[in-house]
Amino acid sequence: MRAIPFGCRGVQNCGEVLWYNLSLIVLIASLGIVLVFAYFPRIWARVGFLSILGFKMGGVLMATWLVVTYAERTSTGFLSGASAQTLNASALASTILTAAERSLAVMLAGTVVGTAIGLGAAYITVSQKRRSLAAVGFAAAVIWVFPTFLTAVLVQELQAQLFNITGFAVGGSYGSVDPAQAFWAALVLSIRPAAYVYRRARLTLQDAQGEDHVRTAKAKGLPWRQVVNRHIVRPAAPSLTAGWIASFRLMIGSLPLVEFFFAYPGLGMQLVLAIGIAYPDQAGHFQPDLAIGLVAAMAAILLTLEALAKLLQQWLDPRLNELRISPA
Amino acid sequence: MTWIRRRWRASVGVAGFGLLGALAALVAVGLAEPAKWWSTGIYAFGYVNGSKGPQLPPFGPLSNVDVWTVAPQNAGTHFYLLGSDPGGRDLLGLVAHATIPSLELVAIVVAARLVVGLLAGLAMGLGSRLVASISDGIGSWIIGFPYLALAIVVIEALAPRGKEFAFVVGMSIIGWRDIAVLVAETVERVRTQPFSIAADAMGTGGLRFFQLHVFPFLRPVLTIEIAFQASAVLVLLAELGYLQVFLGPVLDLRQVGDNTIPLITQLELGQLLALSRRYILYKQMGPVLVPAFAVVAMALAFELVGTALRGRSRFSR
Repeated sequence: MRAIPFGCRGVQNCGEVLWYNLSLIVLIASLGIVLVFAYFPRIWARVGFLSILGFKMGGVLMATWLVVTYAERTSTGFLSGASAQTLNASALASTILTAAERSLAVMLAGTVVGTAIGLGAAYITVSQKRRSLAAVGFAAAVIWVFPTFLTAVLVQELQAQLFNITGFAVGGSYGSVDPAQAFWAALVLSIRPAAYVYRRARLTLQDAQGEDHVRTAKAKGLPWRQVVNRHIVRPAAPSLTAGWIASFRLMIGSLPLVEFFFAYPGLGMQLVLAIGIAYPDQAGHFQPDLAIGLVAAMAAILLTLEALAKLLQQWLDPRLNELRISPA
Repeated sequence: MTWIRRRWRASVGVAGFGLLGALAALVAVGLAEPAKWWSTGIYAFGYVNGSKGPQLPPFGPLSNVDVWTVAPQNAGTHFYLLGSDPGGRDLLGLVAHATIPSLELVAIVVAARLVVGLLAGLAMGLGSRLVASISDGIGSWIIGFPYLALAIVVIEALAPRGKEFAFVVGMSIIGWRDIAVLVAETVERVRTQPFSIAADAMGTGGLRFFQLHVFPFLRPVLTIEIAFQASAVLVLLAELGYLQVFLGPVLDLRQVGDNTIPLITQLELGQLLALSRRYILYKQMGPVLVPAFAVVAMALAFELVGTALRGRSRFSR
C-alpha cells in the first residue's frame, strides 16, 4: 500500500490526495456536529440533517477516492496509467464549477419537462378512467426500454429531417454551449425519467385506490375528481416524491452519456473524458483527480436534493417520521 | 372497469409472451445459420438482386446477395433478413449469438441485485434504527455516484480478476438500492396499516409477521421489479457498450479496401453497440439500429410479461 501523506507537497498526484483530505475533513466535521449537538434535542432537530448530509457526502468522496485509486492500480484498460497533466486546486475547482453550471441548466430543464409529463400523465390516467389512456402505459413501457443513446440517435435523425424540410439548423453547434444544444440534451435527458415517473406514480396511485378510506369516500358519494385529489394523491404524495427523486437519480446517471453524445461540455462529458474514454480517433487520458471531483459535484447535487426530498416526505406524511424515530 | 383491466392485462401478457416467442424464433433462425455468414467470413462486396453493379457492405435488410470475399472468391448467395455489418456478416446471426451470453449475464445480475436489495430493504424497513441507518447510509453512498460512471470504474477495476465477474459486480452494485427502497417502503406502508398494528398487538412478530403480513405485499412488488430490473440491466449493458465497456476481450481491426473498418469478434449485445458512434459517423445505421432494437424488443418483452404477471396477483388489483 502506498502511504498517503496528509498534504500535497511532494506527492505525485496532488488532486487525489486533496479529495482524500477533503473527505476526512467533511466526515470529521459531521462527527463533530453529532458530538456537540446530540445532547441538545432542539438544536439537533435543526442541524442533524446537516450532519447526515455531511456523512453521506464524506462517504461518497472517500468511496470514490478508494474506487478510483484502486481502479487506477488494477485496471489494464483505459483507467490504467493516469495522465501526466494534473490540475492545481483552483483549476480543478474552476473546471468543475463551470461544468456544474452548464449541467445544472440542462438538468433543471430536463427535470421540469420530465416531471410535468410523467406526473401529469399519471394523474390524468387515474382521474379520467378512459380506456384509451391505457395506451399511455404502453407508450411509457416502450420509452422506458429505449437506451438513452438510441433516443439520442433518433433525436439527431429528427434534427436532420427538420433541417432537410425547413432548411433551418435546429440542432445547435456540436461541442458548444448554446441554448439549442442545451434544449436537445435536456429533452433526451428527460424522456426516460418521464416514463419512470409515470410508471411509479401510476402504480402508487392505483394502489392507493384500493385503500379503505378511498372506498369510504366513494361510498359517501364524493365526486371522483375530489376523491382523487384529496384521498388518493394527497396521501400518496410521499411515495410520489420518492419516485420523483429516483427519476432524478436516473437522470443524473445518464447525464454522462447524453452530454458525451451531444459533446455538451458539462459534468457528464467531462467525467467520461476524465475516466479515459475518448471520441473515435482521439486518445483518452485518465485524470483521476478530475474524475473524483466531478463525481463529488454530481453527488453533492443529488444528495442535497435527496435530503430535501426526505424532509418534504416527512412534512407530507408525519407518520413516516414517527416510524423512523420509534424503536422497532 | 374490472373486466377492462383484466382484458388489458391479458392483452399485455399475450403481447409480452408473443414478443418473447417471436424473438426466440428469430434467435433460433440466427443460431442455425452457418458460421461463415456471421463469424468466420469477411466479405468485401456483393451483387444484390436487381442492381447492376457490385455493392459494398453493409447490405440492407431483406436483401438477397451474391457475396464475394476480398480474394475475390464467390462465397455463395445469402439472404440477409436484417442486413449486414460493414464486414458483410449477417446481423441476425451476430445478434442471435450475442443474445445468449448477454441474457446469462442479465439473469445473474438481476439475481444478485434482488438478493442484496431484499436483505437491505428488510433491514431498512423491519430492522432497528441503527441497522436502518447503516443500510440507508451505504445505499446513499452508492447512489451518490452517477450509475454509468460507477459501473465503468468498478468493471475496469475488477476486470483483471475476470471480465464476467467484473460485469456482475459492476452492474449489480448500482441497481440493488432501488429494490431495497421499494422493499423498505412496502414494509413501512404495511407496518402503518391497522391490520398490521392489530397483529403486532396480538403478539405476531418476527418471521411469522413477515410471512403473513409483509410477504404477500412484497411478492407482486418484487415480481414486477424483477421484470423492470431485467430490462434495466439490458439497457445498461447497451449503454455501457456504447461507451466502449463490453464483455469481450478486444476488437479486431481489419483492412477492407482503403478503409480501416473495425469489426466485432467477441459476440455480446453491448459489444455489438460498441462501434455505434463510428458507424453513425459513416452513416451506416443498420449495424447500430439492429442490435439496439434487439435490446429494446427484449427489454420490452420483459416489461410486458412482468406487468401481466403483476396483474395476476390478488394484492395488486
